[in-house]
Amino acid sequence: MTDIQRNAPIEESLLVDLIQRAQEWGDPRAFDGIYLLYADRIYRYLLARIGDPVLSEEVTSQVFLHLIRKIGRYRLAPQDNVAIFSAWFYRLAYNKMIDIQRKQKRTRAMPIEFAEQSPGKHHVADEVLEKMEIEEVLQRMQSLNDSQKNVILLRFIEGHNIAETAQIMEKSEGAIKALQHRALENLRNLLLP
Amino acid sequence: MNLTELLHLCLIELENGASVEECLARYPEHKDELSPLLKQAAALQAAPPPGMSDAGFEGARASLWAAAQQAAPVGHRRITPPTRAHRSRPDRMRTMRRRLHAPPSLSAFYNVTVVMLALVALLSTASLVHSTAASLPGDRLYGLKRAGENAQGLLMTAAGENATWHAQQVKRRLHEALALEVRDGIAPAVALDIEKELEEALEAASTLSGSERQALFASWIGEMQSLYDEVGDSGAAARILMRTIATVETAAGLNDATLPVISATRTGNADASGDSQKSDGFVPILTPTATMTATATLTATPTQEPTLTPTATATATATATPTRTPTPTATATPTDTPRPTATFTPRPTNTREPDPTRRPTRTPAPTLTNTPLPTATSAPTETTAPTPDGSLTPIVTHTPDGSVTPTGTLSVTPTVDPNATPTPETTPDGTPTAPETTTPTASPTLPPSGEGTPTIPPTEEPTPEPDETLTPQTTPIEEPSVTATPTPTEEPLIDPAASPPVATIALSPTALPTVEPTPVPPTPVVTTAAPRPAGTSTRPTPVLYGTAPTVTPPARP
Repeated sequence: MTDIQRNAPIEESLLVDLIQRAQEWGDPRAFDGIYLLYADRIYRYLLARIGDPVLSEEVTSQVFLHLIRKIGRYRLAPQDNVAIFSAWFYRLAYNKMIDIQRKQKRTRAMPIEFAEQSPGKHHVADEVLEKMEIEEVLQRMQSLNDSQKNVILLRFIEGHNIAETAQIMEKSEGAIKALQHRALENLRNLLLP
Repeated sequence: MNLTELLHLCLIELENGASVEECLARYPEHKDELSPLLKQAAALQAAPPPGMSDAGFEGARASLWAAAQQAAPVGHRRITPPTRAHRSRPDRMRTMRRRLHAPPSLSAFYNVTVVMLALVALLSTASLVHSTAASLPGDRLYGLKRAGENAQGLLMTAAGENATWHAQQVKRRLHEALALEVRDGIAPAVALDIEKELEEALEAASTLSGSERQALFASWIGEMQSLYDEVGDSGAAARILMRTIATVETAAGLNDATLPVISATRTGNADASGDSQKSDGFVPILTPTATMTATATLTATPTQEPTLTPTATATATATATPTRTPTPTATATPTDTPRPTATFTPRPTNTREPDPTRRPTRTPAPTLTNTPLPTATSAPTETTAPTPDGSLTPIVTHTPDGSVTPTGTLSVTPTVDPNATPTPETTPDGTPTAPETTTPTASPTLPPSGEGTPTIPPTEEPTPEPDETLTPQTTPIEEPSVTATPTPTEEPLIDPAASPPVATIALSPTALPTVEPTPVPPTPVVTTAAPRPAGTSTRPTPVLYGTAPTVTPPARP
């Protein structure tokens, strides 16, 4: 899959072809193509929950190894597989993250009270209004609940619209509108010095 | 309109290219509430999305590639690894910044750590090999395990043990499938791998000599059978194992057309109720075929001239010897001229050793009143030396509550001996009737196969419920035509001691004996669904794809 760019926009036909070849033949090139498309997305999804870039990368790697065994369970839809597969894959990543955290008996996510004392606090406070470092923001989204993390990630970082976000999060569009409002307010209060 | 709706409208305008100031100008009364939220959302959208570090990205990609290659079938392995993925400049800059802030300990002791790990790995080779043996697809050590297997395969192939090698691989993959099912579920690649190895093993075995191939199959089947006995018959992996065993047994010649594919000891599901399908979806197909052949010989031997009172002896012997399940034996032996003795003893024999309780205890008393039995003419001519050949084709139908449905064919070939000795006391115009007793051990029911086809109906159903369905069919090859010897006035006697008779057949020399067919209930026709009237809408069954219903694909690049 040399023609697939890393973190490129996901096209329906390309994704369906990759999934089919991965399911039917276990084609390593198909898994590599899925990795190129989804690795950074899964990483961001995990970083918003774990808060540790290194651990998030490790969990991301484990998630894709897990995908080899689980890809056969995904059922291709006649259409809209981008959103459906994304939702399925995010849930797979979330479950894998929970599994790893259970095995480690503790999470490396940095509690917000310790984050107040970290050197990065001043760094974020200085830049948040001028130049927002998304990676830092994701690390500091730990105080938000899962729904608020998801809506920030999907709406403003991954660029999904309201309907897609509602589809992925399995909520109504009205709920997503209210959720994005609360999430932006809480995130603003969190990032302000 | 509340603030949530206003925020939503402004966010849509931002996504369409409007600026924050333009949005705020539309709603000046909510400028203070909307301004910080819109600026924050705009900043989030404008910032380049974070991603994995290049090192982490490529490392995880290499791990995925190796694991996918190991899990993939043979045809998709040994593909050139992918080249380094292109990354946008902002991503590279962000990675450089992060590396500058990274703690130096990782890079300072990296090489030392690698060397130490290498030494430890060399010293603990034995334990590592032991650990890899238990690894499964997806585990980190699984690649090492497969590499070791490939090396072993090269050696065995060079030694001419290619078939043994692939058989071992099938067993290894089956073990892995069983373990994976418990842990994570079976990946399709594992099933494909098993199928591929199985094909290669059978192909390699076809090049072996007969004794070598049978020895290989015997050992292979025995090991898989033991594995099956351990894991039972539930689950996808168990089904794969069962199919593999059946395939190997077929290749070994253990499953031919007349034997059931799955033995009773292995399935344990072929019960009398026919509910042989368990939750795993396996359906054993047991369809043995039995053939009964009955030969009746009538011999009439006149000792005097036809003008005198002749004594004719007609001997009808029907012998049923099914090739498989039922072995009926029908013997018809008329002892004297007008007294033919016919004994019909079908003796079905099941290779599966049918339960004694399944054998019918009663004797069906069919009545032969027509064609297939010999007809003795009261005034036989000397020139006639008939040797009639008759065939009875009763269709023995057993209660079809099992899954074994043997089909038997009973052929009766009566032979009339022209040298039968006529008995002076007998009246040529008599109509002897010889009852014939037939005792099928499998309680056959003989439905008519057509008009004029004799049918021997059992008088009552067998006492026990058999586990199998035995349906021997007896088809008359041709109707016997007996023209011989005098017709006695006395009724023929039947010698039941000649053979263990089961059914009694009445012989009428003056008339063609006819076996009255037993009416067979028509096959019920099951209508699965009534036609839906026109104009009635059918609600489609909802199908869930992935984990969520359909949604419009994202449009953002």
